[in-house]
Amino acid sequence: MSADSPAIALSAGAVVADLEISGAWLVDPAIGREGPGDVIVRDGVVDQVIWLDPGEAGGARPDGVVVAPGLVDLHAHFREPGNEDAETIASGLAAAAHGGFTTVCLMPNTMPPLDEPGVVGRVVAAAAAAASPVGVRAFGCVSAGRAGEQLAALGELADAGVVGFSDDGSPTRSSTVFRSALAYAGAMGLPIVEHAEDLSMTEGAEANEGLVATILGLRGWPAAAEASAVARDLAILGEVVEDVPGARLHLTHLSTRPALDLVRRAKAAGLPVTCDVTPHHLAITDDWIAGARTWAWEPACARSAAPFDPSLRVNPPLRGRDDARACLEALLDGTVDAIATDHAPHTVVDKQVEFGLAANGISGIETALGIVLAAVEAGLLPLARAIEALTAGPARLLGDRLGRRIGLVEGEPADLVAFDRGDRWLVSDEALVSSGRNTPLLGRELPGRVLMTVANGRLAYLAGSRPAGAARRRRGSTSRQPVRAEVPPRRPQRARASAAFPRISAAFPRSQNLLGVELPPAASSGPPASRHRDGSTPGSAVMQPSALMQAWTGIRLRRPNRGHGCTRGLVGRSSSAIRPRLGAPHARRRAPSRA
Amino acid sequence: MTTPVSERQSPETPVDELIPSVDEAPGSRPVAWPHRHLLDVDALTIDEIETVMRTADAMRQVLARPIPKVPALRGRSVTILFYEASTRTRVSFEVGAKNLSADVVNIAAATSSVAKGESLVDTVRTIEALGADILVIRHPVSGAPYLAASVFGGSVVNGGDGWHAHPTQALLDLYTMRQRLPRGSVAGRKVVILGDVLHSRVARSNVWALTAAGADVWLCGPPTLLRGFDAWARAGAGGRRFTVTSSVVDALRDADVVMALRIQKERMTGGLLPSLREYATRYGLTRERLSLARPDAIVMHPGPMNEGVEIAPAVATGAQSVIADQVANGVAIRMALLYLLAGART
Ligand SMILES: [Zn+2]
Repeated sequence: MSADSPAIALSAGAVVADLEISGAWLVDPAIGREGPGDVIVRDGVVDQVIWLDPGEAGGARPDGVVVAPGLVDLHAHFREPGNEDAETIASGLAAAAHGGFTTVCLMPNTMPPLDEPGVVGRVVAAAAAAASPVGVRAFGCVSAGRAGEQLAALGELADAGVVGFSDDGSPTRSSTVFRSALAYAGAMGLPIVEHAEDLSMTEGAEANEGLVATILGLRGWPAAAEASAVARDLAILGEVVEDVPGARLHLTHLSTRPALDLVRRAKAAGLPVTCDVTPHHLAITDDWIAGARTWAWEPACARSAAPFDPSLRVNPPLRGRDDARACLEALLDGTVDAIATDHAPHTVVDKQVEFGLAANGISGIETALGIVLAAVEAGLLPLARAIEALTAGPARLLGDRLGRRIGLVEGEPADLVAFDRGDRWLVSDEALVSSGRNTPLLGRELPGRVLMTVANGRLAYLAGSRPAGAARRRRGSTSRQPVRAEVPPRRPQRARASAAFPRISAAFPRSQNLLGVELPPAASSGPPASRHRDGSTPGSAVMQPSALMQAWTGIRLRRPNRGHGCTRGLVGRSSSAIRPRLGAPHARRRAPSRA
Repeated sequence: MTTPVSERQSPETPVDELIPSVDEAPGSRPVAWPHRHLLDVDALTIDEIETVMRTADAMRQVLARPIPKVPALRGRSVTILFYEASTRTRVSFEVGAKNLSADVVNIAAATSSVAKGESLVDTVRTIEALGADILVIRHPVSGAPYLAASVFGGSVVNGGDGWHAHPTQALLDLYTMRQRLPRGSVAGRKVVILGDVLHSRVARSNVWALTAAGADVWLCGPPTLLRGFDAWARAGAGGRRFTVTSSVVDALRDADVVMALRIQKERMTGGLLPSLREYATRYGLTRERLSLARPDAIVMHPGPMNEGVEIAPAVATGAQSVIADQVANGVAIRMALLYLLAGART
């Protein structure tokens, strides 16, 4: 797209009234299909998905602009309630949208933890106040206070809508409580999500037990601590399913070959067990702690960074190359069902400290797609499998409680991500949206800049704009002031839009109009401007199509002169175009089969 | 670990040009020490280690004077920040810095304040604001000096961090060995480090320094206190192999140097050893065991000693013991390093 192409200063949260993405590479794991095609969205609903014949692909390539269903994260920590300096639900949702995610499942280890329905209510309320279209689901605790001694209010939590139970941050300590939880939750059709770690082997542990920890003098974190916990969990599951056939176990963030081997065998034996791995355990190894900075699958090379970077402290720890390889193999052979981010934002106060005292965790929801695409780029992972593990895979585990259909489905609310595999972006303080800057990838380029995230028919992220809820960095302060675009209160229509609703609602603070677009005064009518927390008055517009069309065609896109965001418009190197437009879509020939 | 490239100067510095005339200010020499910090031994080339040794020779001559004081670091401020109790190392740095006429500030941070209260980063920034040029830090958490170096504008000297490194100790150990061994070289000599290797920063730094100097390094102790070291020995320290064994007989046979490591009582509660008594019986450096080594073998210990546990009192004070020399040489080595760092050009 050239600089004078039409574009729109849509604010996050606005219903996507009219969007055409043409000549992109579509990936739909729901029907197991990928190929060139167009996607047309009207009034927040997928109007047409047109699969093109290869002959008429017109340059769409799998390594160019890709359109996929919105990503689903099974495992994220948003720190609200209790540690809002590290992340709020609003800032976390904005980060999720920047990362291409349209559904996130929050882990319950907040303060207080989600061990009774009242706390779930607080999370739901915070999510509603965030006004992000990204869907929030929550796990409840397995045990009261995550203490591992007594069951949490599992039934009441289920009624409050949790998608499963987990004591994540630590394993369910008591084997008896774990056994009871599997049975009790299983009868309700909900999974137990287990953080597998034998705590008696990992007390004070700092880094994966191995050569790096030995040389650096870090307390070793044995692989056996994970495998032995997995073995316990599987042994208990094997007994529980005899009584409760609905019992289900999900092992999260597995990181070692022995643990993955155990799951592979258990699956072969028919046990109802699933698991996920994180992007960092696929791609980053413990030699990063010694200063290496090459991906797990690349040849080792000279150390290029200072050792002991606390951003690399994470639980489970970064492992060796063979374990990373095992994660990839398990992803390829189906042992691993999903890639989950384990997004764990922390404040500078908790992270810029001695390695062994640093809080565990990597802020990863914005870099997950890029890391996975780096593995795709290296030829180690088919694109379709990568997308599957980020969408349909986790969706299967959530079942009905996901609350949406995965796939590019005509007639369903649009829920998709568009990213450009040919466009690399720099992970930087400016580029990141999460309050948690604790990532070892700062200063590194990742493939696959996200161009647009549409969740539940509404715009969640648009490259070059600052998403709703994005945390704003202020020097010398850990407090954050969310910058929130005004969002129309209406929900997107579920059905096909009627002719009575052909309008787009968009609002933006003028100071945040990062695309540099000035709307003509004629288009500026609508709801009264509201006041932002920073005191600025947003410009708001509810536009009729004709006015908007006029606005677009009359607009020359001035590129914002800023380091972050959209540098080349919404277009990759291929001829794909993401074009919000109005009027009847062009008639297109559909590809003969939809497989 | 290897120092980032940016911290180094590329051309190898000719050793002779670095040998100081210690009465001059360090910056007056034409070629300077290429490292801003001393955080790890493995960042040093063998030529640089040689430079430290020869600078320490010059410092020993200073120490032999009636008034062992030179104006080399006049006007420089050295802050000694210790988060762990230590007498030997702290005093050694303090005496060394004062002999060089530096202004010395001593800060003893209680160990318990590491996990709470002021963060290390804030403490280091405060120290810098107060005008420190060189910061000597000891810390119970591995890697802490790297964090300090990332925010400190001057030079950071690692005075021992967690289990990770104790560079000045390894250098003074090497210096002491060269002083006492025939022909002044450890090359090809069998050096045994005996005891709690797992928790020992002294052992780790000595592996780097001694293998670099060509010694035949053996690490010996109960298998629970050698965990992971077999793999390191196979991989090698910078490609240089060493030997790991639980057999005290194999280790001590024909040894030229035997260094016993302190065994801490806390190790018993961690399920690593049955008892101190059993350790003393099976691994303690007794006269009988020492007789397996060469007759002229030297005995070392980084201190503080548990006499009667890892080393028998008669061995610690016997004719083969050079433990007192280690302490004396510690001052010379630390003077040498402070001197070189003060003249560092990076
Ligand atoms: Zn976890």
